[in-house]
Amino acid sequence: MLSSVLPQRSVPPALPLLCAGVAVVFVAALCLGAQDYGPGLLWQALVARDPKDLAQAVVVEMRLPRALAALMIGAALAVSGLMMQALTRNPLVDPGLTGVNAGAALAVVAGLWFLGPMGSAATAAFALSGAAAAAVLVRLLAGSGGGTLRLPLAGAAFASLCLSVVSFVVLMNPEARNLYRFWMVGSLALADTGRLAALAPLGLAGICLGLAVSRQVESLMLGEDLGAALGLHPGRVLSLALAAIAMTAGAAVAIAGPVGFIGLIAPHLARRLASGAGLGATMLLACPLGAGLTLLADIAGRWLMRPAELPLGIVLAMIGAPVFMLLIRSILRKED
Amino acid sequence: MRLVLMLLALVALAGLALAAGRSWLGPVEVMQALFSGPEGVGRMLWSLRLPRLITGLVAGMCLGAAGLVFQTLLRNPLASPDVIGLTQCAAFGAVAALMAGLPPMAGAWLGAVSAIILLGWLAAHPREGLAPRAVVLQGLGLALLAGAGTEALILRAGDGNASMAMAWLTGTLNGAGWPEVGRALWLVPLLAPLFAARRILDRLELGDDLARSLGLRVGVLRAALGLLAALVAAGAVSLCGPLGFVALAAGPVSRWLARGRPDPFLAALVGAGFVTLADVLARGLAAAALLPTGLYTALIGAPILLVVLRRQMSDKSS
Repeated sequence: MLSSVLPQRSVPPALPLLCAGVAVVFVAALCLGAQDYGPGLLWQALVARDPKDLAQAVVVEMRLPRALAALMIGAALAVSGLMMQALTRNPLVDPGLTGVNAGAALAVVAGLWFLGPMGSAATAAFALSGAAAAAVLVRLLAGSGGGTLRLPLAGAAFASLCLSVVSFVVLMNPEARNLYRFWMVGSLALADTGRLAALAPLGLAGICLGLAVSRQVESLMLGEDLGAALGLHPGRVLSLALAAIAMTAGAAVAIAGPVGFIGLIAPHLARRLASGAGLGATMLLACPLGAGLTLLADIAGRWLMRPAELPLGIVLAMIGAPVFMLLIRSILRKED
Repeated sequence: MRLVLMLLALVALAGLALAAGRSWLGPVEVMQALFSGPEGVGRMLWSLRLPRLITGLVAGMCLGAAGLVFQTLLRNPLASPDVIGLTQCAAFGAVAALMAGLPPMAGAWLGAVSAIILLGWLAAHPREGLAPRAVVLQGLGLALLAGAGTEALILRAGDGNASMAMAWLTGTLNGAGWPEVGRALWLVPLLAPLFAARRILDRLELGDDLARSLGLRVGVLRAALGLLAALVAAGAVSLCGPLGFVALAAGPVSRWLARGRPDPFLAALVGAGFVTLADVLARGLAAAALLPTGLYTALIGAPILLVVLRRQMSDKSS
């Protein structure tokens, strides 16, 4: 599918290197944690699984789904962020800052409020619809004009409103409180095999859709007239792009809650690496960057204060907020 | 006239706050309890509801006045201490001080002053000086950073107590007793000069050049008022956490009441009323859950923020 969309020459040279890096981090994520294990144990778990070995069970049943979930949501949020930046022509937006994640989280807890505890599929459906509604809202806000700096502000207002309702519902509901306390700030603590199996297809489909429409989005953003002349249906391309944003952000939120800043940092780094290549190539680079960064942040959160755990959302905010601030500084200086 | 109406509304709200709670009191019971003193029938009122009410009133006044002053100084209705990260930095400082065994108010002051310095450095423009929109955006990042830092500190302390963490992240009056009232009264002398600065703010709004020609030392005044407002807001945070949206909403509402003029005293009253109303809701609606007051201030205040944003957009596009 990819080769039909992207000609061979447009695959950026940094991609294999990044993938190798992600593989190394992945192995580290399986080894490091409350208890550190050597790579030998991983090999054993792979070739000769001993169901009674506790260490193997920890690695296979807890760390493996968690690490896979980190990879998936990292790549998904990177695609989501890059697509939003392309659609709004604004490098300062990501699903966290614009409230798309918060909208998805709000929909999830609304479902929790009205229906009680839900399965993974229902959670995904709610997250998807919340993310889609918020993404359409962002697009409308961005379409109404205004500079680079207004969208993050409006988004922050919207996000804080949604997140107050989220904490309200979570705290009102004693069952939800224990389960969702860390999910609420963005955490992989709930990522288990069942959830991953139910939600990874949604996230992966969103990533593929994003990659597939990247070229059309790029042409469309050059101008609707030009896009139409190239034989595009602006409405169809736009709705496909919004669907990709909603699917990726929705899947990420359903697993790990509203995790911010990956959609900002990964595309930014990818743009630097891609140095002027098209949206598709940038997106291909952003996927391993987002996945690797999320995995690294999760390792840091588990490792820094062990046996306690710092939620992923907090680690990423501590890295991402300074990056955001420096980005604003450079944009403001460039603008005049 | 509007001031009198606002005062009356505040008194009514205060009465409601004394009556509301797990067991509701009638107006006669409230009066009886108030006059019987702390020993008699009014024990619950005197030991729990009254200090809570006073702390909330003072915190609300501080946040409201500080909000209006910052919004006026930075010429942006969004630039209140809770949007530009001051209250979040103050909360971080207060929690850090609390954990180190130092007085939380000192920590909150330190946090707020460092936030001002950091924002000044980040938002400074080589030619234009301090660009208000840069301050607002940088503050957005700072608020997220400080919030994450506070949560990390609380988790690091090993106290997985969800309600304590929520309290320090959203603001609550649940712990307010007479010692808090004592600390709150320290903030009143700091509030007085802000109230007196109404005419100065009025002139500063005319623009720097005009204000200078009227004989004001613009730079000094701006720095002094900003510092004072930051100290007051941080003091309120050290009492009850970063109650969200109070400072933000009090400014525009008080301007609307005062026909567009900045009046810090009116903003303080609006802020006090806002906090009291939120606390009545916190105790009256779901008394058993006793959710943080800050959740209710956010639920009431966020729609006001959206209105302000909308109005700002239509102003600029026209």
